[in-house]
Amino acid sequence: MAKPSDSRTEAFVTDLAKSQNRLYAYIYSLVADHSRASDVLQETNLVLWRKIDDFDPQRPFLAWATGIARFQVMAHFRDMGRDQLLVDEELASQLAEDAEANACVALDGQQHLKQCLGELHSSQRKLIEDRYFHSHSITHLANQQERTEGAVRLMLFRIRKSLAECIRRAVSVEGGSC
Amino acid sequence: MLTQEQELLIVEAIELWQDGKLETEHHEAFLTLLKGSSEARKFYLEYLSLNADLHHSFDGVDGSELVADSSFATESLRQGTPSRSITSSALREVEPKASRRYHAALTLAAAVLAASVIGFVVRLGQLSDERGLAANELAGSESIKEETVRGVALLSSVVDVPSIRLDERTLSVASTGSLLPPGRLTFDSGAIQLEFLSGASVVIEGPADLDLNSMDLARLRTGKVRAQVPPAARGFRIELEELTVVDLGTEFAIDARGSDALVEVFDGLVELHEPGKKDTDTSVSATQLSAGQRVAIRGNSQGAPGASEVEFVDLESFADLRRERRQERLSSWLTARERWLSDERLLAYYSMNLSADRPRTLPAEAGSPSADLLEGWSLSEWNGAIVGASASPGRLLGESALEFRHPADRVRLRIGGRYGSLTLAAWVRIDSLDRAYNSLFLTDHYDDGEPHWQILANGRLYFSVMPQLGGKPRTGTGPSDFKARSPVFWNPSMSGRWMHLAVVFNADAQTITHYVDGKELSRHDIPEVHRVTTTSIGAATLGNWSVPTRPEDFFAIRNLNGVIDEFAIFASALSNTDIDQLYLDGKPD
Repeated sequence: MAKPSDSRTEAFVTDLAKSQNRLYAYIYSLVADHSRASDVLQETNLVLWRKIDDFDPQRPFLAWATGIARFQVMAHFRDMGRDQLLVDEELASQLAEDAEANACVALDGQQHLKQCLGELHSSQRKLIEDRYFHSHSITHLANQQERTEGAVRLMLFRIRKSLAECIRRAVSVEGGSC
Repeated sequence: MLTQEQELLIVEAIELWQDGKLETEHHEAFLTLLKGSSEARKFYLEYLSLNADLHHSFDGVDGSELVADSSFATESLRQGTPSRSITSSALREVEPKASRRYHAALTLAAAVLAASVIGFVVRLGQLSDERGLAANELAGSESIKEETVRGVALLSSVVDVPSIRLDERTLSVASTGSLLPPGRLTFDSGAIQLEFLSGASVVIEGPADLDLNSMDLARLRTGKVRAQVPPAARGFRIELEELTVVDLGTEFAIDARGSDALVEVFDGLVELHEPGKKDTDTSVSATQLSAGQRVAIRGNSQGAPGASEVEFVDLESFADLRRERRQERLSSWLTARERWLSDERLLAYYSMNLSADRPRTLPAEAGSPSADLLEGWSLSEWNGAIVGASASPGRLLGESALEFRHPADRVRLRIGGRYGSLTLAAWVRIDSLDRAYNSLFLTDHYDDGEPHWQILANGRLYFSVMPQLGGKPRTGTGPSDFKARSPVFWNPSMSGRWMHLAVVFNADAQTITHYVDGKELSRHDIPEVHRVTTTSIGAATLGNWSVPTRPEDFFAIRNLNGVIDEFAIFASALSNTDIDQLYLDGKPD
């Protein structure tokens, strides 16, 4: 591997760092599992680093990186057994196209999420945190809350709906940034 | 527009799949809907995109695997690589309008990422010390995330109890050490000891039915209870159907059967309050009982008890009884162990009992491995070298175990030979999952056919074997490993509880199966591209990972925070029955 110049390496690392969350969200939306998404992101980062010679600071980084991430996701899909996947290869390529078309919406949402989380009741926030950050199972949450699993699912569904609406409102007020 | 039913179908498919519970029929319906509807795909993508954002939003950055894999690099950079920083300049370009927290998240992401990228390069030896990352940049940007756990009392010991139910759940009999959340606790016979977080220690004899309400309140329907309440826990209350017993720093007992009860005070002072009067204030309706007094309650009247004596198991005799049972468990295990040690599938066995004259050597104790299995190695070659880890009480009476707590703590092993199927089994007490990857047993280099067995920070078991390259050098583009991740089996309320963990790699069936407490947790088929037929171990580490790198002073922090008692390697795929037997033979209670 030819040694790239320092300034180009710096630009590369900057771009790579800035795009981590979006690459992660992109990969996660296809593989639906946090630890797998982290693995694929790691692999994507390594491939990107190996391809640093192809990197052109003038070109949009994210589009380039997303293309490589997509390839890594597809490789991951081929590697996993069918029974280990939520979406099959055919659906994954449909989704990848849809996801790339909607990338801007996803970015804007992230910026408003914290504010919208702040507007939730503390118990709602806790439930969201337990499920989506601590990855507690629905069964665990249902036991903890002394409710049925169906009731917990419905609560999560409703809280998320109001979060999504809150984000949509905020995005439409400020307009898209992409 | 999607109907709410369609939205729910998608959401439930995702949630059930993530919990490993999605049924085929539901899965098919989900796939058909998404393939045929761009609206459905849009909904799915938005849903998962919000999941990813939520995952990040609670501590700024995906704190688990991403950080983990780069911790090697982070650590290496912390350990004195010159700090001419890529990231500091990179970070200045990060969106200035972003909020502080978002910025902190990005800072960490950038630092972690740069560390990971740089670490990768450092590992390849292509860039050595000209780029680096200042350690203080990392330290200053890490956000603090507080874990929470719900619990009121610790289940500290169990004697002769076949099964315990807490609300709808049946607690594992080996759940001694578990922190119990509020709930209705029932069991039919035997006795348990609870240590309430307030400090009250209570022995309960079955049949018992009680609610654990808080760290200083329980509601007793049925059962014989003997409580020791030290001054620090004064005010501990037990509610009965017709009155509340408030302890004022003492030892007392209650035998409750619905609305009838007997209250006896052995030491100190107890107050009896009418229902609803839950305070410790000495209201008019409160009756005081002092040492040696007892009262019978029948419906809502109190009176002198009948002549018949009620025997309560006090803490001391409970402890004696428990010691007796533990003694029995120990001797039954020692007998069973002899049988396991002579099992010809056993490759290496470590009891974790250290000898006084060689305290830093962990002896390998496989019974009589056949000569071809040892391939010319002598058993003592497989003795482990203990680094850092210290002796700690084991799960069985009088037996010792090894405690791993600090990043250096580990046992170094070298196990020669080539094998096919492998089974790894250990008794483990997890205190917390502090690291993104918490090691159980990891081979050094993770080369062809070498296994890695660990626990992810989110409480999943994780096992993988690196496929062979057929002698070709590994360039990073060869066949990757198949990662068998179990469903979540651990959460912080199980901290301190002994568990039997096992994993079976079956080379013939090409499956990996995880087990907890003798029961199959998950079974994973290894896809053809990840096929592994020959396994080997070589240099390996128990309770930690020693990274294959030069110079060797850099290492990923993957130490276990907990205790390992017994570790066994079988050069064979043990059956579900075998694993269950191993668990039943060795369980502590």
